[in-house]
Amino acid sequence: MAKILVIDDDLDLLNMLKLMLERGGHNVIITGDGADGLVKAHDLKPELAIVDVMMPGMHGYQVCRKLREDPVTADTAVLILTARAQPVDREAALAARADDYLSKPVSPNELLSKVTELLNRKQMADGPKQFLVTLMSLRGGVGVSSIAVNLALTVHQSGASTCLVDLSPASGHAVLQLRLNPKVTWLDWLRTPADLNPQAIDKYLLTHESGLRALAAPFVPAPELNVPPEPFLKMLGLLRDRFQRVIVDAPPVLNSAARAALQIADEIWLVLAPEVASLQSTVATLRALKALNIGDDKIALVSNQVAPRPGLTQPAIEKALNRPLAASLPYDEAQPAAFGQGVPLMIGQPGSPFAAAIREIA
Amino acid sequence: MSHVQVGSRRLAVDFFSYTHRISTQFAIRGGRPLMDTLNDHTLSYIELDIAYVSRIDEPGELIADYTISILRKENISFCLVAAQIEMAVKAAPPAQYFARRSRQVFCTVPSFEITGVIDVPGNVDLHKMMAIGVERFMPIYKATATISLLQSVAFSGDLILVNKEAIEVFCIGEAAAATTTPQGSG
Repeated sequence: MAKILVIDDDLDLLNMLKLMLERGGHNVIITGDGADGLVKAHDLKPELAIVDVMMPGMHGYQVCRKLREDPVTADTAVLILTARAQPVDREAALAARADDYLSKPVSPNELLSKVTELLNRKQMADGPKQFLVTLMSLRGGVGVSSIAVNLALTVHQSGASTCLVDLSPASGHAVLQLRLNPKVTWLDWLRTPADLNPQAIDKYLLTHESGLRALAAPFVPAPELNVPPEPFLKMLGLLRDRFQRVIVDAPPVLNSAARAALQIADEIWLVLAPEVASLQSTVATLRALKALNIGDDKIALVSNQVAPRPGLTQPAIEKALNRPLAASLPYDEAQPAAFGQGVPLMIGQPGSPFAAAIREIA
Repeated sequence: MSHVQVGSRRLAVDFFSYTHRISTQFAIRGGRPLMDTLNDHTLSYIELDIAYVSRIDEPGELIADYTISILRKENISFCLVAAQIEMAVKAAPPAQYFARRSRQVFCTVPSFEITGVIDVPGNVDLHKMMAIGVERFMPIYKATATISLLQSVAFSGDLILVNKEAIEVFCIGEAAAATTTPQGSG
């Protein structure tokens, strides 16, 4: 739900846009005049302004430039919506410092999708510059890697520069789910201490076809894995400084890598399946995290239904753990196939229940 | 609702002269397609509700807008319709449609090179095609107009209506892979 200002001189279209956006759950303010739009933007401070270009008196590019000049509205996201639909028009819109551009006619789905993308992008820009999320479970098989991969793709799609880190000691699944061929891994990076600097980061990262960057796990465990957490901390710190969002798929053991990932995390997603064994493991994990002085306030519990049979209910889980679940992900029969094909649901089936739930909590 | 499109009561059209791009939301009155209005010999001008003016050397930049304006038809090199061409040209009757073939076309008008697909009879007669006759403006489908001396600037759309009188060079190529013209319904 966002406050959106729409400026368009076509009053019929204006009312249709209002209806569409309100159906999308937004609070919509409309005006048919550029100058009035500037006043409304200043007074009402919308999160997003949708601006037509061809308006008499003050055209959309002028409105956009003036929005940027006013300190009150300078950070308002601006979407240019115009019938001038040529590449030169897109360039003109971006030159006027609009955030994005859509050509008319536009379908409701297309409009809402673009609005959501822009609002997410704005939220990212407004939020902390860097944010590292560590996902873990001390019990394997609860779908930590699947959640990490799909979460990283969602965040990346929203416009934030994102890196997925697979900290498994060997044969991690996260990068395999993206069908990437890991020629270099974090083990190679740690074996080259001189490269633990910002300039060397790209040498060790893979790039998925979506543009998502990833740091892979080694295939074979190496003897020097039993090192102190400091090199891991330095490596993750470099990534956090470089990317807006870092998603870490931590191993199901409290080794040096996992401890570093927990220590540096801004948020920890503790993943569990809605079953008794997983619940017991989660209780033990919470105790272990407390012993490691990990702040309780940055831990979020995420339940993931990995089997089709019904599991423990959310109230039962919350009662047993004496804390609320931050999210409950549904069982999705498409997930195993997506895993096998190397096409995560967020890409192959973005409308699937699992992908939709990840988008909801991202 | 996803199939419903908004902004379709008026037709977005870009008119190009030798030196300027005039963008407008052309009001389709009485269901009369744009091409019929352009080819109406009783009027030498076309009236626009609001005109947004850009120069050809900076075609994205709006230099002025006017609420009342008319264009002299003979000085329009071509006009571009990016989408919704059913509001710009009449659908061909089925008999005529099947008797015609789609061919690649290349032509030049002052400042521009235009490429696209044109519907022609089986036996092409370029002299006949270039004759002004009843129709001054000729439809070119899936068309792109590139500024001859500024090849990075191109305008593309489902339809270009080119002024035959402005054409300098006109070439027809091989048969196009698939026709893009609107079919008759009847």
